[in-house]
Amino acid sequence: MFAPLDTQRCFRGLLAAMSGPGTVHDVTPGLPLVLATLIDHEVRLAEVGDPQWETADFVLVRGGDSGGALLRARHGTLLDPALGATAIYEIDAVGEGPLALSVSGPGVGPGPRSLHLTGVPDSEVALWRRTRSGFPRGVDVILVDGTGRCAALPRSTTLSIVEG
Amino acid sequence: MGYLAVKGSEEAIRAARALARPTGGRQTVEALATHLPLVLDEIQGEAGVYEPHLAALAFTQARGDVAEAVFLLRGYRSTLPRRAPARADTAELVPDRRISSAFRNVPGGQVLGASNDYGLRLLDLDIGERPDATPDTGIADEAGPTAGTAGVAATASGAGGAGAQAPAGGAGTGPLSKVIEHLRAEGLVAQPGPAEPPQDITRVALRFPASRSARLQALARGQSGAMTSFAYANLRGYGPFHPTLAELRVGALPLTVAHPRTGNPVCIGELPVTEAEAIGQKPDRDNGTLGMGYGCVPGRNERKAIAMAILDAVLSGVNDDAPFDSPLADEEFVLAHVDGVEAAGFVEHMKLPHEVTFASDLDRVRTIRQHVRGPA
Repeated sequence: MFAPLDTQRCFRGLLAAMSGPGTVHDVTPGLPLVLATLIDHEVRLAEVGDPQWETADFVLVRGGDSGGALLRARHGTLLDPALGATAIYEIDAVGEGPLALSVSGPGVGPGPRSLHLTGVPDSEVALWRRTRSGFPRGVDVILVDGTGRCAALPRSTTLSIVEG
Repeated sequence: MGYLAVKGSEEAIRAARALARPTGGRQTVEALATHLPLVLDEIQGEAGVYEPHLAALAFTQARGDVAEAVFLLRGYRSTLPRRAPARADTAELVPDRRISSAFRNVPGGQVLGASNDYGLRLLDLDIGERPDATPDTGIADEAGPTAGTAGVAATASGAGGAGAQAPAGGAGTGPLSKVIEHLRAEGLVAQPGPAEPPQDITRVALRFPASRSARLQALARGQSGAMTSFAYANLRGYGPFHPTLAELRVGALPLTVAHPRTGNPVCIGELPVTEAEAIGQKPDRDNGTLGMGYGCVPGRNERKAIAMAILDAVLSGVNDDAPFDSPLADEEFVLAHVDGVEAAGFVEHMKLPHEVTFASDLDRVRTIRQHVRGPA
């Protein structure tokens, strides 16, 4: 179990990650703490394959590939875009790796920011882009790795893959 | 270069905040909690959280600005986890004040409790010369003698009793039967409809048309002054409802939650509340029953509870839900505008820079003038 101060510190980290898309923050030890911070008896969490996936507030993807399921996560409505789900990915590494994303939009600044990831196929990046094509509807993305690093790609962020 | 201006503003902002810094500390917080409980009740009701100490902190930090204190407390509330829903039944409320203006003799009697309703409103110029007194909770020192002259049944004499304990002078020691139930038993007031699962407007934003539970919650969190004004507008003729107060009660309401293992109800504490039930006929419709409006607010705030009951009655078309022709029957007009935090925020945000929008306005007006007058 985590103490309230742990989850508060994690919340600050997630907040900083969400408000500065593409920046990397420390939420050691990673996924368990993120779940303890965001999930309680008032929200629904689903993993890929769960029947509740389409109505869940948070969806969890272990590994970087949802296999297309992300498209069926809740996107919210134009009247209630806040009802869009938040997708939490546990991936191999956040902040380093072969995949280089160019990130721009609110919270990034005048020029784009780059974010390196390990363990996310190009097809999943394409899903992220598709889910946010109907902005303000869409799915927000939180990425966390086994060492406790996290980054976020809220649906307001524009993404492209930097060809290496 | 742009940053120079920002730096200048930052200094000015810091200086402005320093000038507005609260000076109150422990003594102020203690004095508030001990001697000014009503303002704390008002703050707690509007903030939607009942914790007098936190309200005293907020009021001290806000230097006596109620709207600001409510804002602070609501913000803090939003950080608290919601553990479990509690159930409350006001039939179980143990009143330390209970009056009916509909009947002189009600079962259990008129229990005045603490009230200034029957005294004169004369400024006590000596109050600042006397040391603070220890409040003995619930004692209305004039209740006995004035009760008689005000034509209220004498069961109320001998003061209200201590706190949530049994009122002295003939009233029972436990819950009192509700006046509205006697009227329901006679068929004069309709039985309440089936309860819908309550909706929490702090979780699901208020939308119109609102469910009744959302309406009641919005009203319970409403700003006391705004609620009073709208209810007053109804009474003066901008609304249709001529209420009689079947009952007004102040007391401790037991709260129960289901035990996580056994599921049995467990009392986890009491919440002081004020409850008002207003009854009246629906104008232009005589089906032989009376409609009812309901008000219930945390703490002691009789004015707001009565206003809530009146507004609930108007908004429910005095219960057949066919809307009245009145601005006060427009639920968005009432519910959206009684929220003190939203109202204060929107009105006061006008102080923030609007130079760009205003420059655009000005451009348009200048262009129109040129078209009308021709080039200068």
